[in-house]
Amino acid sequence: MIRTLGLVALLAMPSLAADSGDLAAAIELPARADGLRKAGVSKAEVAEALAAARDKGLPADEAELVFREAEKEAKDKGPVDNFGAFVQARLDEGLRGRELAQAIKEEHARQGKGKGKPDDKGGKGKSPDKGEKGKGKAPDDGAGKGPPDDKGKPDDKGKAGKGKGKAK
Amino acid sequence: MTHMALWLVMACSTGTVELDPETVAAMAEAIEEAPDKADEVLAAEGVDRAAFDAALYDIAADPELTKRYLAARK
Repeated sequence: MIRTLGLVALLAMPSLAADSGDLAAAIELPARADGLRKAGVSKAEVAEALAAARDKGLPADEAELVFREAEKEAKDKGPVDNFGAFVQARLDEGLRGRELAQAIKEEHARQGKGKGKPDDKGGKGKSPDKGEKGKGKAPDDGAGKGPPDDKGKPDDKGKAGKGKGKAK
Repeated sequence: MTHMALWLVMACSTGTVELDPETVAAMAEAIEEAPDKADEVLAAEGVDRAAFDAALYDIAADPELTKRYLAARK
């Protein structure tokens, strides 16, 4: 009898621990959202993603897991385009938790954004002013900025910053 | 009486309790320090898990509320 009760208690322990673990993660959600905004994702995009997660009934700890992955990817590779809409679409497809976090990771890899944060060296080459000064060309001809997919890459940074006029 | 009990259950389940960032931050600190007493922390403020989650979502979506929440946490 005592052994049975002990077994029941042992089986119940993980679920209790999981609950407190969930809350410990949930309380970090504001910090994750803040980190994502600091990594260059707009306030509106973050709010849209949070609203989508909330509307779909994701617990805050599950949203924290997703935002943690998004924050990490955004800091490493730069923000993805339309983050809010992307999260909404994946939620509509039924993705949750780790699957959703993985989808965000794959989207970062697919978009192939430039390395580094938007306010570091990688972002400097994107400035129209820098392009004008360096190349002496109109900002709307795209000179020095490269195609949209290349923005923020280390190669572009070097060309735009030096201003030697090598780009087309 | 039955109607009142029903209203209370609905109010709790829909997470309509308003919480300011400093209160939520204090609750977060208490939960972090004693995770096994999380339920007691929530109950002390009269909120359930859904209401607490709703408050965290509200704070996360607003940079100003986030700033206050993070400042109130250690």
